[in-house]
Amino acid sequence: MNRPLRPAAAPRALTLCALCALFIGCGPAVTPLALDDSRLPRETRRFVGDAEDAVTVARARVSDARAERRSRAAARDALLAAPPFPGAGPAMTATTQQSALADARVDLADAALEAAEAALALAEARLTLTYAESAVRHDLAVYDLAPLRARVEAARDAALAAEDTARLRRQAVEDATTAWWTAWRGYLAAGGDARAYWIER
Amino acid sequence: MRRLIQRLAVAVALSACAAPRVEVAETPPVERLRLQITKARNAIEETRQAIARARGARWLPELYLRLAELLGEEARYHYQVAFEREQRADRALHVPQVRALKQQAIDLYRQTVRRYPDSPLVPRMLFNLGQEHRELGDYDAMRAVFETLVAEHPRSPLRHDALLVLGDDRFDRGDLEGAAQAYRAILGDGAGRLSGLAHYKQGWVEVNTGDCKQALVHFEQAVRDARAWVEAGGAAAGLGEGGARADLDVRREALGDMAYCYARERPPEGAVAFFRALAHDRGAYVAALVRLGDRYATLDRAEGAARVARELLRLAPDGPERLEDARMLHAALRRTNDFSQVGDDAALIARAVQRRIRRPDVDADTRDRLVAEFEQLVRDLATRGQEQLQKAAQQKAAQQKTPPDLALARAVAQAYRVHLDSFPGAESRLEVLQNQVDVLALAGDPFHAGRRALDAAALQAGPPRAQALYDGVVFLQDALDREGDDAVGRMRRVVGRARLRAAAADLLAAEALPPERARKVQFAIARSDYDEGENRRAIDRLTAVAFAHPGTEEGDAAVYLVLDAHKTLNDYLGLIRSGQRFLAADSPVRAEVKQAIAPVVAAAEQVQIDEIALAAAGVDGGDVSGELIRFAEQNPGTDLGERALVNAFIAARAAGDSARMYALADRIRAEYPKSPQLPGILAALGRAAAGRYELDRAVTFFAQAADADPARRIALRLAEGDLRAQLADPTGARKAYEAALAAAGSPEARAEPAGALARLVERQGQPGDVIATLEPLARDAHPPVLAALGLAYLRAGRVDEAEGTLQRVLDATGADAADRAAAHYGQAEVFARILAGFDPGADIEAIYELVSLIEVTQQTYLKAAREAHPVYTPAALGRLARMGRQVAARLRALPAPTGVDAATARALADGLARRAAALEAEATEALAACAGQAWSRQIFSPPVRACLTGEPPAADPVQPDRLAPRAAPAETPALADARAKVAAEPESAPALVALGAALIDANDPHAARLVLARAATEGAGPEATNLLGLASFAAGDAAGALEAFARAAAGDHEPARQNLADALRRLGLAAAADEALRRFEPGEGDGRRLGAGR
Repeated sequence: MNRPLRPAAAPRALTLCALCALFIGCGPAVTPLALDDSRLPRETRRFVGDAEDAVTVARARVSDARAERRSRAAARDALLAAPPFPGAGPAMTATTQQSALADARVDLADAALEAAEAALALAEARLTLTYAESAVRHDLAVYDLAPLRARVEAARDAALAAEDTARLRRQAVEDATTAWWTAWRGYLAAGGDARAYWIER
Repeated sequence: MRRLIQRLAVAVALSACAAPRVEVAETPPVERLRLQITKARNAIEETRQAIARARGARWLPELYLRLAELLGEEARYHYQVAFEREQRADRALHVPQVRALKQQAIDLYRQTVRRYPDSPLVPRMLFNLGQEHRELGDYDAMRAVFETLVAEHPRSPLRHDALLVLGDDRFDRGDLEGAAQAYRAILGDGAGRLSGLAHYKQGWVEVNTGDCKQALVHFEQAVRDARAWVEAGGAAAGLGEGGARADLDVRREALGDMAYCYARERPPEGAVAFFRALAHDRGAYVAALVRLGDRYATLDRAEGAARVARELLRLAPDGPERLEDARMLHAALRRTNDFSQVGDDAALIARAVQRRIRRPDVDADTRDRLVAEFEQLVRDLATRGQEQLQKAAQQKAAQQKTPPDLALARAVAQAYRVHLDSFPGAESRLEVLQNQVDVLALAGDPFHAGRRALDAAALQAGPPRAQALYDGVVFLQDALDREGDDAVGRMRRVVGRARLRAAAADLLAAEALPPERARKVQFAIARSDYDEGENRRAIDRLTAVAFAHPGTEEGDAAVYLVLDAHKTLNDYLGLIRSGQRFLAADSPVRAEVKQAIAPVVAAAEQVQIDEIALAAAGVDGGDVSGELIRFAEQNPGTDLGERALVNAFIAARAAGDSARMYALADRIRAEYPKSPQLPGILAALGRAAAGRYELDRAVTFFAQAADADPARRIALRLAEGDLRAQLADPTGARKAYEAALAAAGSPEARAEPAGALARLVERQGQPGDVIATLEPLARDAHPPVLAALGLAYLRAGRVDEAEGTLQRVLDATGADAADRAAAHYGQAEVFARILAGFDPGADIEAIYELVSLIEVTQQTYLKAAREAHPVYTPAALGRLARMGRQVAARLRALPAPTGVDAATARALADGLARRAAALEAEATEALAACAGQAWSRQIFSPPVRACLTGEPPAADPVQPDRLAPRAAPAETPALADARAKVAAEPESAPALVALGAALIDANDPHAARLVLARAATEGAGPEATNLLGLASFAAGDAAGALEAFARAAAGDHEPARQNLADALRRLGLAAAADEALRRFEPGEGDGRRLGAGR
């Protein structure tokens, strides 16, 4: 059973897209600073380097989250392709709950991916602001910092909201896990064959 | 096109150069010999011509010798030609020209020896002569010549050669003793060119006389001497210059020949090492081993044969002989029944046959036959080794010696591995695999046992297959538990886990396993995930095991591993939830396991809360408290929820969010009324509220915390009492101090609350109340209590009790300056009263006593004054002034003493007059000093203010200012904002001043003076100090107000200067007000004025 689009995901995705569009479309262009720019003091270069590192780390986390998403989706697909637990009643409940758990895990992976992407957007906004602030501080360029700071604030809000969503989904996974193991125990108590779990799932 | 033509031309040219190959045969030996004969003849001719030309020359003997040798050489060539012509069939040939030439040579040697008997070439000629006789078969002549050589030329190097030939001749004739004499004669001259050969020959003599032991000695020495000779640069051959048998290598021959006696005389254990050490190259070594092996086989000495066969199989070149060696090894092992090296032996045998059958000249039938034969040999050895192993294991088990023979087990396992690798198509493969599994298990190698069991499973079907799969899973599981962390261990873990999972899944899918086996297999799968670091999958699978097989070893272990996997992932929420599922009432997990994991889950809950807080407190400035509240809401009514709320409270406090703190405290009280954290929370709330100067809240929180926490009740009640006292609530303060006293169980614990209570009741100014309150506490002898009680006695007219009580203060070791000041002051007041009531009349002794009393009183007031106390110092000075004036008047009015002469009376009157004058002067100074406290130290306590009237106080001036009643203000937005700023920056002087001003505006001067006093300590300027004065004045703290105004005025703050004057006037001190305006220069600045609005 494939789910076309998770209802809760759509608005958030739109928000992120809109946020990105906002950043791209109407912000002042900031020229990146070079870490070997001798006009910059050492401390500033280190500061800029840290901000660039943060972007790198955030990108790696997005990559990890994508991999986790693919893994979870593949696990769910495999589960859906497997035959249900043999029997009716408890077997059907167990089958349903196991599928629900797989769905919940995919939902969590979606949310974690969105949180990672939001964190990346925040790190990029911070990097842009860091470039601009450093350039202004050392008389290398003139920028209007207010909109850049507003962007960081917006990205931070988005990141926090995405983390909130991921946290809620994590709770949902735990609830689904409890439901699944309850169903599993019921299935076993009713004399269900445990082999199906070990062979086909 | 042109290029093509060029290429064709080159190709044609090259092909034209290629001619048919012509076979060019080697020059036949006869032709080569003929050439040599021609050369020899030419040399003979030339030599003869040279002799003809050298008649009488001293080198003539040498030319004769050379000619004879050339004749002998040509004779040998002729002999060789005949030998070749006879196809090398027979060496006994009759060749006329040979005899003729040799005879010529013999004649020439004899003739030369006769003509030149003293020539140094004689030995050589004799030796050659003997050789020629020998080659012609004239042995008698030969013996005679060689014996002559030996006898007449003992120093000639050819003597040994001659002896050797003589020895050989005797040996051939069966004269062993004679031969031995000849050889011994050589050996008697020590090591040399022929000593090795002589030993070798002597060795054979010994062999033939049956003394193998001596033979071995000579053979061994022969090898050593020959080797030493060669290593010293000599020729390897046994005979060199002019000698026969030039092809003989003594080292090789002696080594090989000694095999015969070695096999008989020495144990086989050291044979291989012995021969290896003596051999100078591999060829000699192998040749000797071949002979030794043959000898052992002949003697039926299997152990030696096995050793030799192993060495040959290792070192000898490939060939059909190696198959024989392999067979010999197999036979020897069966005979010895020694399988300790069966693995290596099997490998040697298998290698021999493998090398053999790979040769292109071995046909298929032979190959199959050899494979069949040797597969059987290897299998036979491995099986016999296993039998021996199992037999030993059974015996050891019977003797309760548990460790099996691991070395043998490994060797047998290796033999089976050799079989499997070398003969993959053998029909016995399955049985061999099964045997190997058993042996590997005994060898303590579950990893390979498991793998082999799975290999065996692949060859089977049905229940045997299931058994093999199960064995494989169990062995691999065991192996995974054992493997180390080195590279091999890591590799094995990877391989082991993969094979285990595949086999287990195969097993579960295909076979209906008994429950116990199914449980073990499922656990093994889950455990492999855990070991591999696939923690998420491991958690799922282990949980399945835990719920499917509760109460079993695997089920219990699965529970622990699930929690550990969560911990590894740093997934504390998952750990908690998994733990809760295991701990649930309807969970089938055993009670003992539940008991064991409960603390783990509880600890995780705390860590989880910390994790949430840490995550929320990241660089993005998250709402830590909010996160924790949300978490608490998700876990209502649980310890976890409670902890989350408490941590949320702590986070709110750290963030200075008072509103959330209050809300959370209310929530904790409502939802978790029995929380042990509640007293701490309330106390923290009290401190936080005090920090924000929400003093009424603070008082309430301190009181609630004190009720909830008996352990900290004294401190909390004291804090409550101090705050209430400052807020003009003496009744409430008194109750708080009394509650603190009630909570104190020892005199030491009562010290602080008793002191606080004493100060409080003393400030109320009711001696009777003070006495009633403090008398019960006097037994603890706390100096503040005694000081207050003593003064109360004094004020109540109970002078004797006052004196005694105050003396206790002075006698106490722990009294501070304030206590001492009070005690001295009280004592002085006691003396003053006595002084006032003392009438000496005209009794001169009484007059002297009066003077003494005056001095004691003076000194006691001065002692009190010296303690530099803001109240008792000016009080003592003021009262000293008062006493001085009164006493001076009394001294002047004293009647003349009776019973003394006139001169004495006059002198006494003069003295009293001077003392009166001095007392008046001192009184004036004391009064000035008392009032001067106001200007020098900005002290405006009631005694100072009394002195500022210009007259010394007529009564005890120690009457504290009483605070005005207070009405708690309504909280306004401005006030709340100011409080928040102070909470955020509690040491910020501007924030404190702003709050103080806001409190004044809100008509709460009591709280304002506390805030502004703190601001003053944080470095606030004169404007803030002026505000402090205003707040203090409004609160009824006149002394504090005047002091603050004076300090601000000293900072050139004009409003304060004016306020100081106004306040003094309002207190009835108009002169002091004028004095203040004179003493403080007019200043600057804007500021609030006394009695004015904002």
